[in-house]
Amino acid sequence: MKRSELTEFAVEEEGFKLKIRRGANGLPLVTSSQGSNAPFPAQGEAPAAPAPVAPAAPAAAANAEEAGVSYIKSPMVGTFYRSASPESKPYAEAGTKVAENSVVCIIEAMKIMNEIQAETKGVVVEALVENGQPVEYGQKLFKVKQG
Amino acid sequence: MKPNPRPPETVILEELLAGEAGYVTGTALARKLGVSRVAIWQHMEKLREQGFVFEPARARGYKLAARPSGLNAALIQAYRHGHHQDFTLQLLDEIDSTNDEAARQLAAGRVAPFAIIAQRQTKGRGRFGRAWHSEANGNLYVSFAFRPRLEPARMQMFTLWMGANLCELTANFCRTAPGLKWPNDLLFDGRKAGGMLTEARMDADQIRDLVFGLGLNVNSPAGGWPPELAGKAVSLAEHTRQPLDLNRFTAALIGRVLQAYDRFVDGSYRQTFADLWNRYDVLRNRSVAVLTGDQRVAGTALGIDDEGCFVVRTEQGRTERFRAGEVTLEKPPKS
Repeated sequence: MKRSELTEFAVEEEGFKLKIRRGANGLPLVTSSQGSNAPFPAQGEAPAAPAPVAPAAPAAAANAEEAGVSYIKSPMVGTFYRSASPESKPYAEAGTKVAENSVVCIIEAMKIMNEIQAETKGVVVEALVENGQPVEYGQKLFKVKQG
Repeated sequence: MKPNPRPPETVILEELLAGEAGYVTGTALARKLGVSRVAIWQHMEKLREQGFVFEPARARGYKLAARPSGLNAALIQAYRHGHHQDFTLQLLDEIDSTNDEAARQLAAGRVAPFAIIAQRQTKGRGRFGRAWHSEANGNLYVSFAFRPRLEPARMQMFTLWMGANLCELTANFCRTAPGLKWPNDLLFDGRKAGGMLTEARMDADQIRDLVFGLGLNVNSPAGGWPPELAGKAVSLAEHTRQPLDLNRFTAALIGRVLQAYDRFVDGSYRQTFADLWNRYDVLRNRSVAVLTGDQRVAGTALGIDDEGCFVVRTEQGRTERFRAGEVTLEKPPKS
């Protein structure tokens, strides 16, 4: 894999989905849709270091869903705002408890200020986008530990 | 609770307006509303308290001799004929923000569409909580509430489309139209005559409800602005040198907004939007600067693209598109 330009490779057979992609550190990561969803290093190229679980690297984390953790994603393309006005407190930050209908941020698209709700219950672990930054459709905005 | 869109006072006024040259008898009104003549008399008494004057004539009934000049909900609804019989209107003396009140009432389950109008806002605001001057001075502060059930991506053009409609309405009503400054300001000669603020609440993949707010300077007198707005704000009356009939104008505005909303939801707005926008766009071919976050891009405005993005040709000759941002008009360099 490393010798080729290949960055991603997937096999699907009888309900078992295997996906291999090159991680942020150049090492391939394998994810499978069965069993543990945590990425583990590919056999045969065993690195000395433990399995890279790099939440900061989007390429590596894309398929990694930790148990009990979900993401609030952007339903639209727009600009992300963490508070109603520059002076007011952020709707949600690390440690904020949210319920399904809690407003967590505003996304502005074409001067429509859209209040985004958590759609899940839990505690915000991390805000993934800086205030005032553009966001894409489906982009992760907040990491939430469910419960 | 569902407020009655056609309260008796509105029906009485409609009948009197329809027979404006002549008269309408109390008996005819009673028959129309299916109530007693005493009940009609009581409703008319309520209208008298609001500033209406009824001129009686023996055997001919009543004639509408005078109407209040200030905002009056029954009169606005009576002027507003045609579609959207389910639309309700609430006029308040004072509220923090008509957008906030509309959102609260939507959350409480009030049937949409409806509008909240306030004589005065104590916390009138634009984007990011910036204040909107909202004294009781003959101007209009109104918020429309809808439940569109559309995907968010469909809403890109909403505010732009509404703005273009407001320009056309004003052109028809006042024989002069403000210009549009992308994305949500209405201007006369560079001075602000109106601003729009659309706010929506989302469910997973749908707009649950939407509030379209408008602050429009209609009848405030020249020189009536606070010092910080002098030279920056202007009213329709100031521009046309003639006060507007605020109730008639508001009725026309409601009709136009409801119609524009329907055309937005069914998608037919696409046929006319670009033409309408280009007619009123004041930035096109002007030197502008766009501020987004810390970034400032200067160039020539080219208009908007088919997603409503603001398009600028930079001084280096590149074409850039902006989904959001603050646009300022650059003064041409003095030579």
